[in-house]
Amino acid sequence: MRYLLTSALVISLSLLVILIRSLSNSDFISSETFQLLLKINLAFVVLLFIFIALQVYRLFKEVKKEVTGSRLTLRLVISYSIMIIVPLMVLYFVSVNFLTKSIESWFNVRVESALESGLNIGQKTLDILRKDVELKSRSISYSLSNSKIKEFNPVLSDLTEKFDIYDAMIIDEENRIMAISSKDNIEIDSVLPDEQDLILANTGFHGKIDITQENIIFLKTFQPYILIDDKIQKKFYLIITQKIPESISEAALSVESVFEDYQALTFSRNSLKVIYQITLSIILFLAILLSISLALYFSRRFTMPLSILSEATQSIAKGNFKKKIPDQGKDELGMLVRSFNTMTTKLESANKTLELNRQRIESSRNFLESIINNMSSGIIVIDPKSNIRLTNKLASKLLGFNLELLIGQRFNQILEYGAQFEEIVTLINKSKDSYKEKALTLKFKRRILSIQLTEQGTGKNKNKIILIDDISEITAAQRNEAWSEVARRLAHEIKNPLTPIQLSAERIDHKFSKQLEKNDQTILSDITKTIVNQVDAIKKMVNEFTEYSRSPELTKSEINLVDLLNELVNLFQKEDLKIKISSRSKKINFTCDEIKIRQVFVNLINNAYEAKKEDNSCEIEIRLRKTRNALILNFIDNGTGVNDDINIFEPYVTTKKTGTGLGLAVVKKIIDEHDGSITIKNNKISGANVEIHFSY
Amino acid sequence: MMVYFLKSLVKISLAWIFCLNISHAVIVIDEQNLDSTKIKFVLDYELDNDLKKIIDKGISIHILEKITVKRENKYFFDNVVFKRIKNFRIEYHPLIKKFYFFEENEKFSFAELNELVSYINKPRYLTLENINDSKNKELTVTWEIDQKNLPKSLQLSLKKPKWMIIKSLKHNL
Repeated sequence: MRYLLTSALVISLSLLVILIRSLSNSDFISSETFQLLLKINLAFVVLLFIFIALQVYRLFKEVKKEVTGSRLTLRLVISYSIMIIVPLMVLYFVSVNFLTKSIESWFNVRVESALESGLNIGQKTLDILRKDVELKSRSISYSLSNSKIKEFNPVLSDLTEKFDIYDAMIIDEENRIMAISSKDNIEIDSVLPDEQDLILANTGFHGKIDITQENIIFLKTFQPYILIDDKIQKKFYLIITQKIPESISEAALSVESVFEDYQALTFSRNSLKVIYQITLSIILFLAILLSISLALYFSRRFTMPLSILSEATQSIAKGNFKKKIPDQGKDELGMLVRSFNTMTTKLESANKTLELNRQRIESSRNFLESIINNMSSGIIVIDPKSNIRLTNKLASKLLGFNLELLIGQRFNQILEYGAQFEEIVTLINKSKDSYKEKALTLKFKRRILSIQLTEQGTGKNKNKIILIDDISEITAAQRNEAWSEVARRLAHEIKNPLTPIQLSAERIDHKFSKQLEKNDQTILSDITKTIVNQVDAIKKMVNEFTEYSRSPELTKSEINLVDLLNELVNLFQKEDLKIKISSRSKKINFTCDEIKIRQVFVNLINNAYEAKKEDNSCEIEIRLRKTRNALILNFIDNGTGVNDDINIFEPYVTTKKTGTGLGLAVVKKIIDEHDGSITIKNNKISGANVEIHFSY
Repeated sequence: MMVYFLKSLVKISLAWIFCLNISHAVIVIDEQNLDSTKIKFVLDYELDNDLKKIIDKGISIHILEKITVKRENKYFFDNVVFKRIKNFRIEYHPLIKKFYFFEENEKFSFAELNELVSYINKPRYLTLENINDSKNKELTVTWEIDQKNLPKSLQLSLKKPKWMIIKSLKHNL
């Protein structure tokens, strides 16, 4: 743009100078070179116009696209252009008017009439001279008509001298020269008359004016006269050539020449006006277009730092603090740019610090989140507006729904997931009074949850922190421990007297039955049998207690579970019991205490059989699966199923009329001792599914 | 082919420029033999009013008579077989009210302009030698005003005035 504009400036100025200088040279104006120059200028005007049109179109496009600084550039261009165009137009119209008037003044009427008068004077003078020569010619011819032919030469010489005639000649009808008199050496051929001249002379007289190529004016007269010589009438022609005095001739021809020039100039009046107007118009257009080009250039140059500044500001607003603007000089704009660069440097530094702090906070937050997520307790943080602010996965797991969906929402909304949470909501709502810590125990889905509420912060910015712990296992462990203690005491206190009781009852029956009558014998026998049976029952119960309370010492060996189950199936040969073993492999080895695992399987089969529906046979399917890191066994029956509300693996929890409630408690204890887990759930149609899970 | 196209374009342009003055009717072959061709032509010219005004004001006019014989070439530019340029001059002296017509070294004076035009329109003869060696020749006789010899002020016009061309005659030999 800069180079293009400089070139345009140089070319147009050169063209303007040439054009203006050429106007002062009238010869040059009328030349073809001037016309070529005009055409070049015109072509340059067109080129410049196209260039400006493109620039303006580009500017309007930028304005439409809302490019920064384009509107200001456009406004500046318009302002500059108006500032330049208005005075230029005024100057142009004044110049054109002045020029037209000047050209008109050259062709003043008085000048033209003066010239015409000068020409008329010349014509009149020539007429007077012509008439004078005519008179002289008549006088000479009269004198000659009275003389003799022989005397022609001397008479003619005398007369020409007398009348101051330049050149005189007498010819006869046959064009023969009879006499001649001349002040110069005359060329005969040049003075001989034309046939046309003689014809005209025969009318009485013929005179004419001629101009030689040397610009000398001659008057020529042809006078016929009759001479009677020896009674013979003869016709002669007197031809007089009179040279007009040089002073008169030069003056007359000079006036004629000036008149010719003036007339030629008159013809060019309109052309001159048109050429000057065109030239001035081209100068005007060149000046205007050049001014607009300069306005475009300087407007862009002026708005460029502002545009850069604006773009840089937008860049900074988007977070790019590294944006720097090149130095724009020492003026106010340059100062602004320097201040801007200082500001961005400081902003960049502040942003770096901010980013560092943010990373630290983020790191701390991640660390905190990691801790919270890996905590053994579920956490819910409630902000002062009772909205859930933070939670961990364990809290969701313990409460049975995704608490993260409720982050930012009111805590009360957890009621939508179950009425059992009302106690927690009530606890939170009641805690408006100042408190330090509150606790709640919630039985929920076979679990016992401990809920603790604490406050964090001061004043109005108090956050409430809810800690949720699953204390089911702790409670169960405490209960087991208690029951084990009871069992140990029972075994110790009850088992010892049972054998003497049983033996004593049998001795009573044996010793005294023979002394009694038959009826009494029967009664005694029944009583002693009852005692023995009840003692057996107590023994059995005590043994179970003993089993439950004994110390967990395992004797492990590798056994094939499939073989073990097949063996057990053979032992349980009953009509109303069908056991099916499903295993992909016939050999699934497992390292365990065989006796205890056998007891587990026996207890589970017994439990399933005892839970069968009345008048229905019992069908048990035992599935064995071995995965990459676990061994899974399922005992699926078609019985009555279990009650979801009770924990059937707790001691003395049973739904059977005759059960001690220790069978499944012992099973769970053995599974726990083998680092396994056991769960029970009801099937969709009927029966229950007990799943044992051993991890490797 | 391109040259043929350009040539046609030039011809069309020239025809457009001279269309008003081109005439084919006033050139007659008077006599023709192996060595030469004698041609008679009449300008049949009517003085343009603008030119008449210029002459009346005493401005000298130079006239160029251009005679060319071209051999037509179908695909290339025509060959110029013969070319001749002659100068004439018309002068009017308001001082003595006389018109002069200068033809080569001869000077003819006329009291009226019409007499001068009549003189110009007299039958003119032209003898072309050794141009019979081929056919398809075109003779062009053009009388036009020599712009370079006009007074400078009369050359000012940006557009060539129509009176500049006096006559252009064409004839196929």
